[in-house]
Amino acid sequence: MSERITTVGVVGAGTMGAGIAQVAILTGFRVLLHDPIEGALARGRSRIARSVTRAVERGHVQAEVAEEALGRLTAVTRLTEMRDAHLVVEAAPEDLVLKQRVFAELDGLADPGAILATNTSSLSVTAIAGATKRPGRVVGMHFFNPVPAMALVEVVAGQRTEPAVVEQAMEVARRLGKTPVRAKDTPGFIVNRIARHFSLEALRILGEGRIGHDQIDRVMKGSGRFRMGPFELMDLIGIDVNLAVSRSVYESFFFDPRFRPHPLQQRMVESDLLGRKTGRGFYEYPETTQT
Amino acid sequence: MTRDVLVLGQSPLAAALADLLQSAGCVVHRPPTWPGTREELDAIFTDQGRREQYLRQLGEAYGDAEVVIEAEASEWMDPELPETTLILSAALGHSAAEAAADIHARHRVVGFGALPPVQKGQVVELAATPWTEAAAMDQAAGFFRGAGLEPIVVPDGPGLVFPRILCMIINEAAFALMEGVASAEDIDTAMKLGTNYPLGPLEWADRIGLDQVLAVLEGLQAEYGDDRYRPAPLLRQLVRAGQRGRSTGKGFFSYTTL
Repeated sequence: MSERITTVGVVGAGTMGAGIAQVAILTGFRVLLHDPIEGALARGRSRIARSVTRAVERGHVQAEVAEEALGRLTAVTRLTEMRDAHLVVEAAPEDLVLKQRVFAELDGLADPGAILATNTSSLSVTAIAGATKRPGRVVGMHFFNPVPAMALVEVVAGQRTEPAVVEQAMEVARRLGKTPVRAKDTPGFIVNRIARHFSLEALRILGEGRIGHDQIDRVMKGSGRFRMGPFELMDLIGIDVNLAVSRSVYESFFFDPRFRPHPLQQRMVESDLLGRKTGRGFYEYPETTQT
Repeated sequence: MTRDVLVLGQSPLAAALADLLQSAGCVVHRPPTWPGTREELDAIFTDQGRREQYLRQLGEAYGDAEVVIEAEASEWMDPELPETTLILSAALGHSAAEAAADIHARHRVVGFGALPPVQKGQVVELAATPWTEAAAMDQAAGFFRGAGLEPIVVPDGPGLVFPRILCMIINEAAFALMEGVASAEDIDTAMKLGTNYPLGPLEWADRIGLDQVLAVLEGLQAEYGDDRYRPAPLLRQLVRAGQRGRSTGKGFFSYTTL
């Protein structure tokens, strides 16, 4: 049913958009990559080219395959070029008003039969779909960072998404080499909701002032066999990014106490201790260079 | 290091610890008169005669043990133990201090935290009660090291660190399942592939025992009086129905023996 989907539009050439575009060209799709900011579009293209080159160097992809795949990537400066796409994946910043604007525009220029997918991690797919006259053809396809490495895609049906569209999204995800799961349009879907407690509860324990963050991380890795402890993970993702997601989920659940963030995390963000990207978070990263 | 160890409890944790200690060379006793169900245990403790007989048999088993591990909350720590006996109490559904308060030799009680699967090389949490003597803490650390585990001292409290955090994750997975957000399989797949959890939260709960997860959450809710710890009704429903996980053949998933 999804075989007719051969051209995928990607809106947003940031980390997620570039990652999605890369995976799509490497699995045989033709990709139209767009970003309203010209510099960002060029950077996105370079990021993809560099990433594919690294994949060839590591033997994950053959050189001829990579070259041919990059030939199927077209950077487009105007959103109107998305009219040729059978599926458009939106990977714009996590802002509802912004995404609704993008979808309203796409609705006006994309092929009437095209599926419009959003990579939103925390916003309502139903609300985004509401900005279009084709909510039945709007679906959530939530990828995980880094896209080439993470197999999961959460496929989210909005209140009015047609079941056939959900199935097509599932099928495209499989063609992209991913493992899709179906999630209802609820705050945080599956992963961002359930994973909240990995950091929220760890912060509560830290906030009780009787054990250090490094000991908590040691216990979680040593007892639970998690790859990273909660505080190492927060430093990696960005303490501010983690707090923003926690706040979003907390508010979306109308302040259910389970999701209440911790003042300690707020203080860290206020003091600009954001993690690896600032050279210091819960831990120190002396080798971090400003890019 | 052939330690004589008494393991109390019928939980998956008790079984996992018994296996680990046996393979580490310990002589492990699990009381032969151990009843199979909560109801049988309750029946024994309401009958004065049976209670005395039970404690007498337990006392005989206790007498030989160098280490007594209370893997599941128990009410039978009455027998007067030799001064040298180390008592390790799982600080899961309650803090180590709460368990020690009812024990005669409370200065010999050390709280510990672990959840199945328990494997060599893993960390085990240790917590001191207000009465625990330093020598007992040292002895506990040495005992677990001898069994192949790495002890890390943490503050006392229900669930300590890892069980507390994991049970909150499992609880959220149970809420998500109950609310129809996704299927049980998809929830576990998502957490493994989307954020690299070693096990899906629901299959993990089945290994731990849903009643054990429930006990940790109830312990936290009682200790903090905070509704953030309220257990998902689905957890209570499954436990009430006897679907406690792998050990009963059914939990969030079914485990048919082939």
